Amino acid sequence: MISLGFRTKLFLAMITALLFLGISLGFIVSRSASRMLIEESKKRGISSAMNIGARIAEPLLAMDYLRMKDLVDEAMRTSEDISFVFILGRSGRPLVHSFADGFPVDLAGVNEVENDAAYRVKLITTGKELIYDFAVPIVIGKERLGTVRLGVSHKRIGEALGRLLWTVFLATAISVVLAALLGTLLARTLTKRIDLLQRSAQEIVNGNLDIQTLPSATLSCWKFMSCGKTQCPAYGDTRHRCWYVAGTLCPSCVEGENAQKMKTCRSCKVYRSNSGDEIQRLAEYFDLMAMTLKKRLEDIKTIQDRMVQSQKLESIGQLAAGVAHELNTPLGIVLGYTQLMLQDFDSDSEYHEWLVIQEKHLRICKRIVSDLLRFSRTTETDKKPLNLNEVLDQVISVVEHTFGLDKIAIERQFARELPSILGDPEKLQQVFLNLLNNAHDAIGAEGNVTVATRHDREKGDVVVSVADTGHGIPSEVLPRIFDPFFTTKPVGKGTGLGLSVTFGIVNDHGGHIEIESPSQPMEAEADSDRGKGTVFLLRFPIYQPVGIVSTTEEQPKENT
Amino acid sequence: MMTRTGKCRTPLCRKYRAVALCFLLALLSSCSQGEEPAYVDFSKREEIGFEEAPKTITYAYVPQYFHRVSFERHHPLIEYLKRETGLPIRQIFPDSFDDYIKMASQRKIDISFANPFIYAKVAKRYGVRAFARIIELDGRESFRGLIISRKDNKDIRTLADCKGKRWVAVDASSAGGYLYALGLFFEHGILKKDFSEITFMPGPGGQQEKVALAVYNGRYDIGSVREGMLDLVADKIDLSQIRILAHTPYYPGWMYAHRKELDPKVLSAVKGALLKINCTSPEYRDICDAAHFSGVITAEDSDYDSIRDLAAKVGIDLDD
Repeated sequence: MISLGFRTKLFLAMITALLFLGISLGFIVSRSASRMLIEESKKRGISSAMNIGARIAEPLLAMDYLRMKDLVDEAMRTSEDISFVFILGRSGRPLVHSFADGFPVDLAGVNEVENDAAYRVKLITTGKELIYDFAVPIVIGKERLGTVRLGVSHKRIGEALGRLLWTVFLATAISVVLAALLGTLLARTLTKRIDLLQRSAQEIVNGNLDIQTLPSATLSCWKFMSCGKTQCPAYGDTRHRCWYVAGTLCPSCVEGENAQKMKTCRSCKVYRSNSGDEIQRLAEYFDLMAMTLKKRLEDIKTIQDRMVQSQKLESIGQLAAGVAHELNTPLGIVLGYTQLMLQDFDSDSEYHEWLVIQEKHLRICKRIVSDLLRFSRTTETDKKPLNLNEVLDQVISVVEHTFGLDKIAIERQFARELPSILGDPEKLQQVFLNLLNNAHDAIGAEGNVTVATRHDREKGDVVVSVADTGHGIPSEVLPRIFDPFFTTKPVGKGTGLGLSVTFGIVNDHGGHIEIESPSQPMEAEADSDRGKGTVFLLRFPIYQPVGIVSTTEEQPKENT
Repeated sequence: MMTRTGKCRTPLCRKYRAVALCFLLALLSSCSQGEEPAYVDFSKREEIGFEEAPKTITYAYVPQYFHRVSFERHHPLIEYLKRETGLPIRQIFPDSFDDYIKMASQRKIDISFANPFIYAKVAKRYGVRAFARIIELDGRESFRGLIISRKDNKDIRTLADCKGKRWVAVDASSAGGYLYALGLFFEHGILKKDFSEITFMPGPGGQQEKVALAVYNGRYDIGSVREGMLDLVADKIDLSQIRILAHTPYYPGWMYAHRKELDPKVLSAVKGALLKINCTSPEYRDICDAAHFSGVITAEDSDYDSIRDLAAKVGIDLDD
C-alpha cells in the first residue's frame, strides 16, 4: 500500500469533507426546500381554491355561467402553476372548467371532499406530469352547492427545486475548487515548514548544530523596544527569539527558570508580535534545542579536553617524579662532591673554573628535579585555612619593587571580605609568583598587572585573576602552555615547568585555571586595556569547616 | 483498519464505518417520497353536454341582499315547503330587481317573495297575485324605510338639508330602499329633481348593503334602506358613524305571490304550508329565524293599494 504524504492526506481530507458536506447539504437542503416549496404551493393552491369558492357562490346560486367562467379563467391567469380549475355542481357534474378541448371525465371523481372538510389535497399524475389537486367544497350554511377543483402543477416546483439543487451543487463545486486551491496553499506552507524542520533534524543528525529553522523575526526586540544594550545576549541575535535567550537585560525580563521568564514574556509586546503558531513554536524549540545541545557539547568537550590534559600531565608527572626521585640522590651526591672538589682547587685555577660551571649546571639540574617533584605533588603539603588576599599581598610586596624598576605597576583589586580557602601558603605563594613573573615577562617594561579577587557566589568559589597588559598568548599555543618543558622563552631563560607546577599546585588545591588571551577586561578594568594581554583566572573552592554548612546567600557582600 | 476479509477491527475503522453509514442513511431518508400520485387519464375527454332543466316549482326571492344571504334565509323554508308539499321546489336567484321583473315576464318564477313595490309592478304587468304576507320580526304586518347619512356630515341634519345632495337608493323597484323614502321626501316638499344626483346600486344582489357602504364611505350624502338592514352590515362598517335622518311611514310588508298561470293545486299546497308555519313552535323556529319573519298570514292584492297610491303620488308609473 502506498503511504500518502501529509500534503496529499490533508488535501484529500479537505476535498472529501467538502464533497461529503456539499452532497449531504444538497440532499438535505433540496429535501427541506422541496417540502417547503410543496407546502407553499399547497397553501397557495388551497388559498386560490377557497378564494374561488367564496366568489363562485353568488354566480353559482344565480347559475350565472358567464361569471363562473370568468372567475375560472381569472384564476387560471393568476399563476402559470395552475393547470386547471373547474366547478362541480351539486350533483358532481362539471359546470364550468378551464380545459380548452373537453373535460377529462376521470378527473371529476378523483378527489372528493366531504361537506364538513375545509379542503382536500390529492397528488395526481397524468403520466407526464404531477399535479396537486385541491378540492374545496362550496357550502352556504350547511348546504353543499358544489365543489371548486384547482390543479397546481408539480412541474414548476420541480423546476424550482432543480434550480436550487443546481445552485447548491454549483456552490459546492466552487467551494471544492476554492478549498482545493486554498488547501494546496495551506498544505504547501505547512509541508514546507515541516520539511525545514526535517532538514534541520537531518543537519543535527549530521552533526551541524548551527541550524536556523526559525525565520528571522519581522522586528527584532532591540529595534522594537528601541534598546541600546549591546551587551544583552539577545541584542543582534537574529536566530533566536529573545524569550528563549537566558540572561537578557530587558527591564521587563525576569531571570531564572525558563518557565518563570516565559510567564512575563507572554505579556510583552515583542512576544505578542513575533510569536507564531504551533509549528513556529516547534521551530523555536528546535533551534533552542540545537543551541542548548551545542553549548552542552562544547562544555563536554572542554571538560573532556581538561580531563585529557589532566591525565596527560598526571602521566608525565608520574614519569617525571620517578625520574626525578631516582636522579635526586645521585645529583645531590655529585653536587656535594663537586662542592668538596671546589675547595681542593685554587680559585684561580682552570679546574676551579670548570668545577664552578659544573656546580652551576648541577644546581640547575637540582632545581629541575625539585620542580618536577613539586609538579608531581610528591612533596609534602601543609594545608590550612587562609585568606588569599593575604597570600597575594605578601607575594606582591616581594615583587613590587622589581616590577617598579621596569615601570610595571601592580594594581590590587581585592574583595573586602573574601572567604577562606584551604591551602598551603608556600605553594600558593609560588603559584602567584609564577603568574606574576610570567606577567612581567609578557609586559617586558611599562605596563600594568591587575590582581583581583572576588567571591563567585553562584559557583561557591574564590576567584583570583591576574591580568597583564602584555603581548598575550597566541591561540595556537594556549592548549600547550601547561605542558611540562613547554616554553616560549629563549633557551636558558625558562625551564618550561613554571605553569606546569602552577597547574599541579592549583589542581592539588581542588581548583582550576582558566586563561583568556587576548584578555577580556574584568568588570573593573578600563576600556583602554580591552583586548590586550592575558588573564589567568584561578578558582579555589571555599573552605568549609566540618559541621558548618554555609550557603552562598549567607556570605557577606563584597566590593570588587 | 480493514482486514483482507473486509472486516473492521480497529476502533478508527469502526468509527469511519459508522460515519459513512449515518451519511448513507441521511441520504436515503432524504430521498424517500411522501405520497403516491393517483393516475388520471387526461386523454379521455368529453364536452359538457346539454342538461335538461328539471321540472320544478321555482321560488325567487327579490334580490335585495347578496344571493348567499338570500339562500341562507330561505333555504330552510324551501326545504320545509318541499317536505310539506312534496313538490320539487327550487330556489332561483335573479341578479337584480330588473332581472326579477324580466324573469316574471318570462313566467320563470312560480312563487315570488317580493317587496310591495315590485309586486305592484309585476301584478299590474303580468297578473302576479299575492296570496300571503309575512309578519315582521317586531310583530308588525308592515315595515318602513330609513334615510341615513354620515354622522360627521354637518350639512345634513334634517330632511330639508337633503336638497341638492347626492342620494343613493337601493333600486328603482325597491320599496323600503327607494319608494318609501321618495314618498317621505315628497311629503316634505322635496322632489326628485331637487337632488343633485339619485343613484341606484348595481347588482347582482347585495344592493341594500351597498347603499350603507356607499354612505359610510362618503361617496354619497344620503342613502335609503329598509329598516333592520343596518344589522347586516354591522360587521363591515362602524354603525356609530351613521346617522338615521328619518324613518318613513309604515307600509305593507313583503308578500308571497304566484304567477297567474300556476296550478291552483300547487298554489293551494304552497299557501297551506306557508300559513301552517307557527313561529312560536320549536318545529318552525329555525325556518322563521332564518327567514327573518315571525309568521305568515293570508294576503290579498288590495292590501297593496296603499303602495299603488304612493307610487301615483310621487309620479311613478307602474308600467314603466
